[in-house]
Amino acid sequence: MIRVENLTVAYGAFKALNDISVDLGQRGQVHSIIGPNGAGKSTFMDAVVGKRRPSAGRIFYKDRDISGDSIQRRRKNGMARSFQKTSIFPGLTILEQLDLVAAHLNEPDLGAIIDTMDLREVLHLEAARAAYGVQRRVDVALGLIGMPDILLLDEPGAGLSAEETANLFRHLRKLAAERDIAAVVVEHDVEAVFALSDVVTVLDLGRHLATGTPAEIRANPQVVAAYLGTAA
Amino acid sequence: MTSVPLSPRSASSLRWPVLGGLALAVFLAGFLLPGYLQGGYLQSLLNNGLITGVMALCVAFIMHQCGLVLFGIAAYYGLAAYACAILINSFGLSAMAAAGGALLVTLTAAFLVGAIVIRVKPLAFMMICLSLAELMRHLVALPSLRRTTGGSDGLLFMPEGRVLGIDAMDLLDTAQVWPLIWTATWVIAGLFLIVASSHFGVRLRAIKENEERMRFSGFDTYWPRVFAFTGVGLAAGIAGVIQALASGLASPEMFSIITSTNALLAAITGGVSSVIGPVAGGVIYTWAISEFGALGYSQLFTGIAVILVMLFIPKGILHPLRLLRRKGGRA
Amino acid sequence: MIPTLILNALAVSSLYIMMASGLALIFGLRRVMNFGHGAIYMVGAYLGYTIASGMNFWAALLIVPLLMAGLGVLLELAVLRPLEKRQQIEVALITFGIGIVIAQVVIRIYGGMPLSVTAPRMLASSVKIFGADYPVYRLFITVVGLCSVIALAVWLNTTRTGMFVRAVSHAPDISSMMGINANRLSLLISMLSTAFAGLAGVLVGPYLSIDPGMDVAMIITCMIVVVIGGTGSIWGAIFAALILGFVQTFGTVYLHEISVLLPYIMLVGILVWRPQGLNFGVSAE
Repeated sequence: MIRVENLTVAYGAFKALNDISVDLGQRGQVHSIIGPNGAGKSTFMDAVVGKRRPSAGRIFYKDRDISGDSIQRRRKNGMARSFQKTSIFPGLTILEQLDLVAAHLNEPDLGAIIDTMDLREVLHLEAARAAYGVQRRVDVALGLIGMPDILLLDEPGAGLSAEETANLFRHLRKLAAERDIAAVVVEHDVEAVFALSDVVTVLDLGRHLATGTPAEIRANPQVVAAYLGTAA
Repeated sequence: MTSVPLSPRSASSLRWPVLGGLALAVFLAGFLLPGYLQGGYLQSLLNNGLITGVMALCVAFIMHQCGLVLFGIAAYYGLAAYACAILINSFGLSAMAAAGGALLVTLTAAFLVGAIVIRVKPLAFMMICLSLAELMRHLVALPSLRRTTGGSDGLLFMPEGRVLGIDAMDLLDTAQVWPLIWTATWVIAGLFLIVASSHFGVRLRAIKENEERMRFSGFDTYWPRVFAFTGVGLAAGIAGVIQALASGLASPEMFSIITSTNALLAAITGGVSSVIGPVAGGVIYTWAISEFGALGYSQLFTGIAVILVMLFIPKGILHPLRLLRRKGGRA
Repeated sequence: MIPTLILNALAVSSLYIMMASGLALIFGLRRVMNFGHGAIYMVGAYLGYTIASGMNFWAALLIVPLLMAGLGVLLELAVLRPLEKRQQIEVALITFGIGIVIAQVVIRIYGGMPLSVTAPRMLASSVKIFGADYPVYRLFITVVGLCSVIALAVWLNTTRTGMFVRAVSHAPDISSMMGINANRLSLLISMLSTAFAGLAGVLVGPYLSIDPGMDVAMIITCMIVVVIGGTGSIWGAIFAALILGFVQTFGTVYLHEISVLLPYIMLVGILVWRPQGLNFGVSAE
């Protein structure tokens, strides 16, 4: 659904992303992006959603060049994201914020999202008072509203235990299948990624190393040398 | 909208009619006040107090809804007063037409300023708003505009015609202008309450709390705040027009930092999330300043009040809610 | 005409630079916008008046900055340090309240009439520059202003402490990482900032008059300079002060009284163009 062509993002002389070309987001699939720290994963995410202007290259979404579109426009056209640092509205109740966004994006079935993300019990809680795990789920729920075609998740497991992360991934797979959403996940919990993704892309030092099924990636000598090392 | 069941809250079903009835009673009783006060010191204190109170409401609204410290509300208050005076003096408009024109001018100015200042960071926002009030103070005192603005002495004017059914000349009487001030305060407070609880209000607070997430939820985060700023400027303009009509004078002091500071103090002391608090704060500060002013200490009082209020305000003036960063808490 | 104007502009700019750089230094280190900075300048001017009329101008030029540095210690220990954890805007408002109180105390002591200081005889004369007589005293302001900026630049760029000040202005979180005593540094900066304000106050005496509104006028000018320069950017502030001095001086001659409005027009114009101010490479706050 997203085609990235020759994407480069430079901070001064330093190229955080260097000439990346990759296809992302098959409907109903979970596509993960992994790589060591400093590989450019977050920058990549920011560039795709429009938070960071690319220095060169183009981004296509549903075969249309969206490199110049604003964040709001991309969201309205069905591209949603969640955040590594939980990004919700602390002073609003969980229902208030879901409702606010749902009304704006014409979400037909907020109840289903609330159930999928297991939030019904805490709807009237002010978000700041909710447990961290709940806040993470609210973050993802905000991204799910408005029937997005593609949902980009930036380290959804950040701060969660391995078990919680695995649970969240299971939720995601279910969602991707149910709502026919393409989920793109940036994650550094390699085990969770390999267990629960359909496609994996590996970045290293701003370059695209490989894309393939988890099994292919595990067997890729370049990836093993650069990233997985002996640990895998 | 969606079909999420709200949990029923039976307690509130009785609360609103009672509160509403009480508010209506207070509102109506307010009109009887001049009969008891017979003009005099207390009446003029209340008049000035509510004018400051309206400005405090404006400051409180923008602080609570947008997280911005509007230090310089006097710019719109004074602008409206001058616009009204100039429209009467130089253009010969009737009082009502001048008041309307003045509000239009203020609305436009507040919109243009809002469009610029909403883009800057909070601290710079505060400094720029203050600078603009100073700009206005200098502008109206320019010697070459003396014939229009009256220079540093201020601009006296003689209104003609009727304003909302009251003869404009009668408005110079503290008892006769009271119904206008009293009604305007209620209308503005009521509108602010309605906006705060509306969809638009939730949207503003959501932008205040997390602008980035709002953008990533497909919301425009710029114009709502510009509109809020414009509305607040207009409300301050209403206070300015009434003050001008009540005194027959627009003066450079209306733009002073002290005017803005007192409105800010009244808002913070009264509580920015309430509407009664800032108005009460306005009355109390006006009283205190007139008491200390009699001794020549009004500015000293303001200075000390700023320090004390800021030091002892319990949760901080913007008390942002913080998200948990680590795991913990209840499920 | 033009050379005279340029010299006048430099004199005005020098005063603004001394004020604005002090303000920007504290902001860089502490993220505190000191709204009381104008009142400190006012105290400097009135103390300068007292010392200049009691002893002489040179003594004032030496003693006032030292006394003001003492006030800086007070500012640091009694205001900035205890309020370290408070929100930026609250601290700004507290310093604003302190400024009002200080100014009121000064007015209580000296009364509300404008005062003037006579320049020392050595500087009271005038010299011929490009065929026109020019007061030496204004040149003196410019020289003192330039020297202080150069000294500041040398200090910031060559010493370890200066380097640290620059580092912290760029990235506020860095102090804990570098393990340098931030409190001692902040004390130094506060003293420097108030001493500069005091110096500017003494210098302004024989040039313009000393009056009760000078604190508000100066703090508003400083705020405009700091916003235009980009909050927290020392070089941005110095550059903006320079521009403002020129705009005001030339404006007074060519636009007459409208020049009072020029700083504000400049402020709005620059913000429409760049909401973050001129901001040379520093992203503060």
